[in-house]
Amino acid sequence: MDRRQEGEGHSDGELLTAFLAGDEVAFATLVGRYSRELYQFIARFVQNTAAAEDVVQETFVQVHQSAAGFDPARRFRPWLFTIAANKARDHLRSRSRKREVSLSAGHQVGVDDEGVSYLDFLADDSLSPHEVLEGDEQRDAVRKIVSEMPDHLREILVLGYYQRFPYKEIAEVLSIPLGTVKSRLHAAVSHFAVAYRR
Amino acid sequence: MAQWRNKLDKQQDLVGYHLGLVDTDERARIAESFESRESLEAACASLECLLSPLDAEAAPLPPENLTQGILDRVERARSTIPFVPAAASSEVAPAERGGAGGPFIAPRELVGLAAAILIFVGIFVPGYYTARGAARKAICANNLRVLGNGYAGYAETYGSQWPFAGLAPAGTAWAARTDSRDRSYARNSRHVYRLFSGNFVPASAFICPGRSGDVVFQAADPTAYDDFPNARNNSYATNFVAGPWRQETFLPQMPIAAGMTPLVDEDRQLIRGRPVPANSPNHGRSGGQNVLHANLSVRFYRSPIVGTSNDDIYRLNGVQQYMGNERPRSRNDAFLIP
Repeated sequence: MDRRQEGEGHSDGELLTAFLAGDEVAFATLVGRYSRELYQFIARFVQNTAAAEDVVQETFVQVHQSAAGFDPARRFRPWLFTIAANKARDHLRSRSRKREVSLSAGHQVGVDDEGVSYLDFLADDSLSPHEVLEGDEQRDAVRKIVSEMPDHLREILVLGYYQRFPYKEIAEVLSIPLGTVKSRLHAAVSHFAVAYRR
Repeated sequence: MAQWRNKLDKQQDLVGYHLGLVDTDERARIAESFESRESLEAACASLECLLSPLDAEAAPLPPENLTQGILDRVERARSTIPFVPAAASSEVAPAERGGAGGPFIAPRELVGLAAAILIFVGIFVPGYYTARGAARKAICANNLRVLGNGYAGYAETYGSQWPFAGLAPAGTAWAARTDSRDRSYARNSRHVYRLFSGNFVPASAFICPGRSGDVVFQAADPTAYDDFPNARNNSYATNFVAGPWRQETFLPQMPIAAGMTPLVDEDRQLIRGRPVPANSPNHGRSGGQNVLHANLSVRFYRSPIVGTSNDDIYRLNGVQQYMGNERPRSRNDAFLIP
């Protein structure tokens, strides 16, 4: 479903159509509509605010160049974030981050052979070291855990938890099956819960 | 195993429910899977406790000139993209057309064109069949890579487990024999079928282009079956599954799937009374087969003797005539069957 903002009255699809017809103001409206949200997603994913600004710009340059090939039947937002996610991954690869966990590895973070997962912590009323942290300390601890998470888990955690993309749109953005979205987000949540408890 | 999997599915559903990431129908389904409204709310509250620290990480503040910076960058990109003129004029100088009113192609050019065609045919047609065979092998190899990705996706969803459809009853054969009155057999493909029914691998990936008699399985509801209904819906042999299995159970080079075994005919019945070739029949005269290894690599081999102990991936040591009830001696003794 295309988004509309108050006072603008034009859907994403209408703005894109107007842009393709030569209306650059329509493109600028789209930029203004999504730049903040896109920046927050990329900044959390690549864990670098300076790089995030660069990636956001590259994303919209790509959108500007590729708009003619966009299928109007699709939703704009997932397409935009697909481009952004690809640009962000390119950036991470160029930085040679090597914390990716192989998808073919027989290890699911947060779930061991006996099926222990984050819900096993729910029955434990004892406080973890991080639970006594407040303010800056807690924020730093969370930031450290998220930054050290494997890229594919951090990516889906940002899309699912922070950006609140529906499962179907996450599947579209990441080009993965719906079942994988569910399992991967669960793995990301488990990873965070296990790491935060330590 | 089933209980653990149900628990895992429930946990995964709870995340989507609590974060509001699923549609209305799915929310209703998830809510119904809990014993009561209270238990659902308690589970959500507990999950919220686990996730709430994430909110300590405030949303990064974008720079004030973010939008303008984007528009400036787009403008710079526009000005550096080479200008592509409109379609070139279709007018061509008359001299280049062989003179005003003359033929489009001069006789001299026609002779040259004919010679070029003859040379092309003479050189490339003999290689056409070779190229076609190579293309089929490449598509087949890609199918096995898709299968490998399916194994990885399945393992990621089900806690490192590879697809396992349960053990067949004792005495069940792995292939039918036309001379046997006992018709009870269970194909090994029922395990790998879970990759298709679980939407990890498309049906088309199970068909090798080298096998003209095999057909893609099409079903409105794949979950209504527990195996391919037609043996010809699957062109690949997979390693004998003796129990629940995981990737790290095997040596990295252990073959887990390859072209259909030469021990069976087109309908996957054991061939008896005539010699069988060493290699898979999938690629005929090419003499060899693509093999998917446990480390998910794929390679074409001209010999079937590529098991981890230099064993034949389609045969067992000491067995001359197969009855359909043979079993490998160890987990790393490759034995790929239908």
